[in-house]
Amino acid sequence: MDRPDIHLLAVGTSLPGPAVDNATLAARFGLPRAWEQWIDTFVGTRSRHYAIDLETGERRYTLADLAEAAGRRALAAAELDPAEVDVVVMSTSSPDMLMPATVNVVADRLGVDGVPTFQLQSGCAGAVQALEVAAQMLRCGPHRRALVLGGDTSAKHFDVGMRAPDVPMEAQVNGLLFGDGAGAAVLGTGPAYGSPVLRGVFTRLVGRDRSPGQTVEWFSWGDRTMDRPPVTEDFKAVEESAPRMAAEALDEVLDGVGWKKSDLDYLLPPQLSARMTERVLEELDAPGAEPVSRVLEIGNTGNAIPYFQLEQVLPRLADGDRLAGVSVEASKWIKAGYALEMAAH
Amino acid sequence: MTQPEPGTGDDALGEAERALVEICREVLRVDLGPDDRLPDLGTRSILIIEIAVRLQDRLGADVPLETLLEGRTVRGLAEAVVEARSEAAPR
Repeated sequence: MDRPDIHLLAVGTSLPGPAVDNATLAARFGLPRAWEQWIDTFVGTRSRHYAIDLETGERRYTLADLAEAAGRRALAAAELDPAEVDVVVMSTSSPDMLMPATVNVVADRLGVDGVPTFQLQSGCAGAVQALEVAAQMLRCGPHRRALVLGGDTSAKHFDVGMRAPDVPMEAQVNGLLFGDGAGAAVLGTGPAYGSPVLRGVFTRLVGRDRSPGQTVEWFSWGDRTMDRPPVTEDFKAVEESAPRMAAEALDEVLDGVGWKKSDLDYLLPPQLSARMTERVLEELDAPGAEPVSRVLEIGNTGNAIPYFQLEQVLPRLADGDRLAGVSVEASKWIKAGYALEMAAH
Repeated sequence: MTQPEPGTGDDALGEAERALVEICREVLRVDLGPDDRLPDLGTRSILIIEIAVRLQDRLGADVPLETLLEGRTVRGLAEAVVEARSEAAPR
């Protein structure tokens, strides 16, 4: 049986509020100049957006709000009526609630109903996982159009009353590395001129016997007084492993589609921080491919990352252009990648 | 929490030295004397910022990153702290 081509028909994104730069964060939390200098030098990320009001802590946007906005944009750009969506897949590490799953709240708001929906609980490889699941659903069933969504907000992790000396430094760095945002894409089977074809996608857990590089807890009545920190991040482990894993992911996705690095016109690297992206790009060693990176201005938007990158590159694709995206998830260690080609017809 | 007003002369230096020794004990888990240099943490170490944040919080001293990375002794850093505090003090 012929496997139909899967086209990326459109992408949409959404960012909450204004860009918040490092100076604003330093002033807001009474942090010294040295902190700002260190961030500028060793992290590199210049700004990010937050779904909360930094002054009051009030949540101004939920993840559902952001994903709905992104989804609406993608549907409009694809000229697709919500009634024509056959499957919805969403990925996030920060759902607004455990139940109902955010994907179903978003589907409701968009007017999508009567179709299978899936929510993937996931970190930075989540968007690619969602892509893989949606692609398989399109290949294996009677489905023709998929809406894929991804996003994260740090709202639950933010204590606006925090005093910098009381918060572990890793948590502070996390707070400025990550940015809130959401993205969406419409995938479709069948002829779709002028839109790139998904040539390959893979995700792979490589976490056996490895300690997590990130942990995120969730709390309820039974463990409200839990002493463990809600979030931990082992930056050292991430810095040691991420570049190599990204390089392996690129090799694997290229092998899967029979391309060489020199075939690539664009490369969409992981976006942990501006500095890490630079290091990863060196490791990826694909000098002929133009990198597509948004992390400097919007930070690490987790499950939204590829959508922001694709939004930037899609309008520029010419017939025959090839791009590859790579993700690394540093919780239990996942490699992921995808390849798109702008087919002439 | 209100920060103590910066003292003058030796008082100020002594106070800064004592605070630095305490901060280094907390952050670096080392006991340093006034003539000891801070251990080489490497320029990228996040511990430097732990120290900077505590200096700001406890003494109102905004010491620049490059000064913290110069390899000064505790006393040398204390001098930088005193200077930073006097810059920040209301006139």
